[in-house]
Amino acid sequence: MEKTETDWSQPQRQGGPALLIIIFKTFIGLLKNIWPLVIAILFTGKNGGSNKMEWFLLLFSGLVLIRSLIEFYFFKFRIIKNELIIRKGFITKRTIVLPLEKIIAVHMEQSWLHRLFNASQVSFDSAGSTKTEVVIKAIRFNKAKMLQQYITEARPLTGKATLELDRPQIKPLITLSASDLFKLSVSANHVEAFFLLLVFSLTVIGNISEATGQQASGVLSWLYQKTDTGTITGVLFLAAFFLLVSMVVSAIRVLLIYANFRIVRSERGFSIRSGLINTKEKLVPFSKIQYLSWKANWLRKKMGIFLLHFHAAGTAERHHKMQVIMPATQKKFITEILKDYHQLLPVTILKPLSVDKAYIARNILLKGILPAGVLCFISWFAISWYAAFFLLLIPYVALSSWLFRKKFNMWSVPEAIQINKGIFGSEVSIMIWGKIQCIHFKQSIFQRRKKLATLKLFTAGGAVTIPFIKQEEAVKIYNYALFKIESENKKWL
Amino acid sequence: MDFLNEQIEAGQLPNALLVNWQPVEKDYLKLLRLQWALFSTVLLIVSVVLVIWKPRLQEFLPLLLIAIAWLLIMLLYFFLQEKSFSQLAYAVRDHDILYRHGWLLQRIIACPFNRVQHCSTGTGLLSRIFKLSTLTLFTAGAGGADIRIAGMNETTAQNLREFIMTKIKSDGEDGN
Repeated sequence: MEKTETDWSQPQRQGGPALLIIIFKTFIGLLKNIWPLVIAILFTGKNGGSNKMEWFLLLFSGLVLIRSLIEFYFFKFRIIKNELIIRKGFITKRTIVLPLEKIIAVHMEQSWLHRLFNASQVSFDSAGSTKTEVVIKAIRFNKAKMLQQYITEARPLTGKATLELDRPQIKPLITLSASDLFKLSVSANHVEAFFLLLVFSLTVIGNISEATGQQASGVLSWLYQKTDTGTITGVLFLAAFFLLVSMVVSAIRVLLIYANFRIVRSERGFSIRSGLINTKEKLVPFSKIQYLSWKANWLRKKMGIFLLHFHAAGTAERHHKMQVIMPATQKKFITEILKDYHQLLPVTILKPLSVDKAYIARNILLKGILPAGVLCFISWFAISWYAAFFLLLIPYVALSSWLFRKKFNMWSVPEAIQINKGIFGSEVSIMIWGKIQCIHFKQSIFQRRKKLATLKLFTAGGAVTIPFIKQEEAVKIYNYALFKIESENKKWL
Repeated sequence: MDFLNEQIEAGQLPNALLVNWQPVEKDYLKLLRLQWALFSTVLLIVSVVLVIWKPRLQEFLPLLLIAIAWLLIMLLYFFLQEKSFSQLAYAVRDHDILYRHGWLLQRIIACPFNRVQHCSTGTGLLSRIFKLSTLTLFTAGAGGADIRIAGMNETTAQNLREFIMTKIKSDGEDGN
C-alpha cells in the first residue's frame, strides 16, 4: 500500500506547477479586464509605425509575472492546533484563521490546466463566512485529496495525516447516462441560453467596433440581409435560427457542466463531481443540508427531470459559487438523496394547508392592475394604442396566481414540513423543523382585516414562504416551530 | 427508564403572539421626528435649488405642483412613521426574543436564543443625543434573518445583550 505523508503544521506553499497556473490565471484575469484596450493597441500597432505593441506586451508580461510571483511566494498555509492558517499578500498582508471545526466542506476544483499538471484548486466552506473566500489555487492533486481527507474526516491533533492512495473506489450513488444528458440538453432553458449568447455577442462586437473604429459585419449583417420580418418566411427563418442557436448553446452548456457527473455517498456526506473541462468536486456534509427542494419547468416535468437543490448552510445567495444543484433524471435519485435527510411526507393521508383565495384577488390588484395601469399611462404618450398591450399583464397575473394557489399545498408531520408549489412547472421542498433559524409572521392591513398571514421560515440555507394562509393556522405553525427548535435544542449544523 | 411520548396539542403550546409587548423608548419617536425634519429640510433645499436652476419651474403651476408634492411626501412620511412607531415593540421570553415592527406590513420576528450566533449593541450620532441604542441579534439564517431593535435605552440594550450572551453560552453547554 503506497502512502504519502504531509506535516501540515509546517508552512506549506502551493505546489510547483501552481506558479504556472497562477501565471496563467493572472494573465487571463488581467486580460479580461483590459481586453478592449489590448485590441485597440494591437490594431493601432499594426497600422501605425510605432512600437507600441512591443512595449505593451513587455509591460503586460512583466505585470503578470510580478503579480503571479508575489501571489505564489507570499501565500503559505499550515494547520496548527486544529486551525487552518493562511498568510498571503505582500503590500497588504493578510492572515486568515479558520478553525477546522468551523469548516463544513472542502471543495476541489480542476480546470484543464490543473489536470495538465495533476493539480487541484481547494476551497473551504465555513458556516457564516460567505463573504470570506478561502482558496488555495493549486496544489498537487494527491496533496489536495489528503488535505480534504484530513480536514473532513481525520482531524487528528498530531498535525500529520496520511492518504491511502490505493483506497478502493466507492460505487457512485448517482451517475448520468448519455440519454440523461441529451434529455437535459433538450429541456434546458433555451431562452436563457439565447439571451446569454446574444448579450455576449453584442458586447464583443460592440467592444471590437469601438476599439477598431470599424463597423461589425459578418454574421449579423448576413442575418440582417436574410431576414425580412415583413414576410412569414423571414419570421420563420429568424425563429428557426434562434431556436437552433439556442439549442446548440444549451447542449454545450449542459455537456460542460454535467458531463462525468457522479454522486458518491460517504459516512459524512455527499461528494458531487461533475464537469467536462473544468471538473468540480463538492462535498456536502449531511449536517450542512438545511432543506432540500427539487423543481422542473413544464417540459422537464413532462420528461420526468428535476433539478435538486441542496440548500446547504452558507449558500443561500442565488449566485453563490458553492451552490449545489444536481439533475435528477430519475425519481429514484431523489429518493436516494432524501434517505439522508427526511423522507417524502405521506401526503395522501395528511390534510394539506392551502393558500386563501384572497391571494388571487390581491395579486391581480397589486401585481396586475396597478403596474399595468401605470405602464399603460406612461407609455401612452410614446406609443399610443400599443400601450394597451401592457394590460395583458392582468390576465397573466390572474392566471399565474390562480395556478399558484391551486398547486400550493403544505403538509406537516412532527419532524418536517413539505411544500408543493409551482405555476407552470412544479417545485417540492422538504424542511426539518429543527433547521429553522428564525420565523417571520407577516400581515398587511388587508391580511389583518381578512384574518390571514404570511409566514417565512428562515434556515441557514435559504427561506421558505407560506403565503396567505389563515391566521389561526399561521399562529399554530409559528408556535409549533418555536416549540420544536427550543424544546429539542438539536444541532442544526 | 420509562419512555414518554405524549401527544402535543397545538392549542396547548405557548402562544408566541399573546405576550406582553414591551414598547421601545418614547424618546425614539423624538429621534424619528428629528430624522423626519432633517429629511424634509434636505428635500426642500433640493427643490429650491432645482427651481433656481431651472427657470421653467419658476412659473406658478410648476411651483404649486412642487410644493404640493413636497407637502404630500412629508405628510405621508410623518403619518407612516407615527403609525409604525406605535407597533414597535419587543418581548423577551425564556427561550426566545420576539420583535414586532411595521404598520402597513406588520412583521413579528421570533428568534430562539439557541439560534443566535452573536449579538451587539450600537449607537448612532443622533441616537447618542437621546441616549438610545440598537440591539442586533445575528443568526445563521440567510437574507434578513437578523433582528435589529432600534430605540432601546442604552442600559436596557446592554443588559439584554449580556442576558442573551449568557443564554447562548448556557444553551451551548446544554446541548449545542
